[in-house]
Amino acid sequence: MSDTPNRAERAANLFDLRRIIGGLFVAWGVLLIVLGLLDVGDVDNAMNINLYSGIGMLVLGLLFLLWAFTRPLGRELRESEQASGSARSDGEGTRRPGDTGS
Amino acid sequence: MNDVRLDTNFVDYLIVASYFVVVLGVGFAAKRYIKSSLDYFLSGRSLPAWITGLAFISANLGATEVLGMAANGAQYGVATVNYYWLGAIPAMVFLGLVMMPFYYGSKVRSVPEYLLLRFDKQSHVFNSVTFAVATILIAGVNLFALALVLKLLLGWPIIVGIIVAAVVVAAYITLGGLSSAIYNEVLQFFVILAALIPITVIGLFEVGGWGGLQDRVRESKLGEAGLHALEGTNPGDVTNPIGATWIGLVFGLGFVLAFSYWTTNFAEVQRALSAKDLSAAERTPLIGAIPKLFLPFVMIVPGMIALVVIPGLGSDQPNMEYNNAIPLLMNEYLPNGMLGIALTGLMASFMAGVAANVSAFNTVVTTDLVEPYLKKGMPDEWYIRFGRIATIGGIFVSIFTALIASTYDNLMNYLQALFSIFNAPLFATFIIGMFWKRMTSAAAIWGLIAGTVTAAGLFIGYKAGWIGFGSDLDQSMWGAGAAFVVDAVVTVVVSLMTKPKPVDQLQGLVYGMANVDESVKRPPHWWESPKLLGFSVLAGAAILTLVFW
Repeated sequence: MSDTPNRAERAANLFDLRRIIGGLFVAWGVLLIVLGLLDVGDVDNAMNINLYSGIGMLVLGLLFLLWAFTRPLGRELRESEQASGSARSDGEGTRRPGDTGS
Repeated sequence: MNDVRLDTNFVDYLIVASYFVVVLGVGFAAKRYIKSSLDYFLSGRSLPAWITGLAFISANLGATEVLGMAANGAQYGVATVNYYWLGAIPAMVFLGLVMMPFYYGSKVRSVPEYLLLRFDKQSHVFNSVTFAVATILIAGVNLFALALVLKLLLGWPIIVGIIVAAVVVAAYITLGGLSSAIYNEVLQFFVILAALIPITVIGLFEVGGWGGLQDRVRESKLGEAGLHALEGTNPGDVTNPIGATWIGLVFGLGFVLAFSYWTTNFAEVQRALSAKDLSAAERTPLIGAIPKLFLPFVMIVPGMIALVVIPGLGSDQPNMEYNNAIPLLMNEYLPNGMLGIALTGLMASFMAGVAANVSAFNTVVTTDLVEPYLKKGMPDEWYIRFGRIATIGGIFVSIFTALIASTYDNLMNYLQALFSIFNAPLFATFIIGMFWKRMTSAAAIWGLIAGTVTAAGLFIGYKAGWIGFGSDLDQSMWGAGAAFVVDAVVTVVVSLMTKPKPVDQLQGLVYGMANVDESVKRPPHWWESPKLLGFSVLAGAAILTLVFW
């Protein structure tokens, strides 16, 4: 089992929804935090919405990225395919990203 | 402030643009990179069950739902929670625990296809036609809602907004295709939450918390009645803002409308049908029910906040329709930056709503109507080309159905009226067909026709002013109830007069003859039990309803 991802695995990783959500939320979160710190925006609120929302979105985005990179989709798929190859009729996806151990 | 024109600047446009660049970029890249259809659905198949559940709830959490539920929150107050805890959760649990074994076990690919197997071609054709009409009307609702947002954002007239939105959606479907739609759906769930949670938090903060909001609602035109879910619904003494009795609520909304929507809606059932085994299929709507429990707190509460902080909401003044509750709040509270996020969330889900309905329309017209009945045996390319033409035609017709939607000042009520006509009779036919082997094919078609005509007649009668109801919502609840009863009665009577299908043709399609799922690979964990999950969610809904009684 080499660690060099093949083409299918790279494709799986590239289009992993968790990376897309994570990336977008991290980018937006950083942007909002900057806006919040600069205090731009012309609405007079008691609370700095951009800053707090930005922090929330950044954390969510980082969690998605952390999840996606600790359990890459490509490797998960290869492992589950190999498992189904050896263990009879194991089918696809007995182990999916997000399943904790077991 | 009467002006709803949002103070957007380049930062907001940057955020909106970045979203569409990502979604369309993924679509383009996917086209080049991905070779097989297996690759294409890779991410969907390998995602954990809770993401499938999110996709299920995302299909329902369109922007019409967001705008409409906030509108209801402003118009009816806390009573709107009945759409969730009474009007969705039990139906979702029923779909998961009771109906899924037949849908999934019979290996049908679509809801109309079940009718074809259980009954015959007639009810298949009838359901396919009404389904095509319904999708086009619902696509029109989304198109109109998108135009509404464009009007608020750019100040465009509604009609220009509708046409531009239609052109953009047409481009979006042809360019991004299905892959964009899949990504869009799950993404939009998070983007919408990212928009709604800050609006709710800041709004509650400004009105002095939940207690402050309650005080302010008591002083508003809703009064004390706006703070209760089910109080004041006794027949003869209806003080509930919905204007309905608990009989109408439980039977019309909770039973007929909700069960028919959740159990026969193609877009919803489809998510569960694509699950990897029966247990996962059963759990899909149940997992989706968990966020549904808590969504009222970020959907209805903002509507109530809008009622008390935006003077004149719901009056005849321009731009003060209930539908505008969320955009008005965005304008009131959100600074540039968050404004862009909120706009992105709304626009993304409208686009997804139009796209999903238009592609469902083209699928049903092409594969359920044209291919089997009108033009048999043409080459594959012919059907693909026809599908493209159907897509463009569907979008074109949606422009006109959007104009119908624009006459409703509460979009959710319009949607409920559509469901009462198209889904309620279907549900009666399904439920009887699944549990009564004796039900005949003739009964199916006559029951469907009678039920649809009844609901449509009540709707037209109400609109024309011949029949009076407590409210728009009251009308759709009674319309749905009547359609259900008429369909059921006609079904039973016709069944008793006609000859049933031989029992051996019903294997896997009716109660007591479910196919056994042989694809189970390992003993399930205790927390994977659909029953445990289903009953826990039901208990949660009951407790929340009691708390807000």
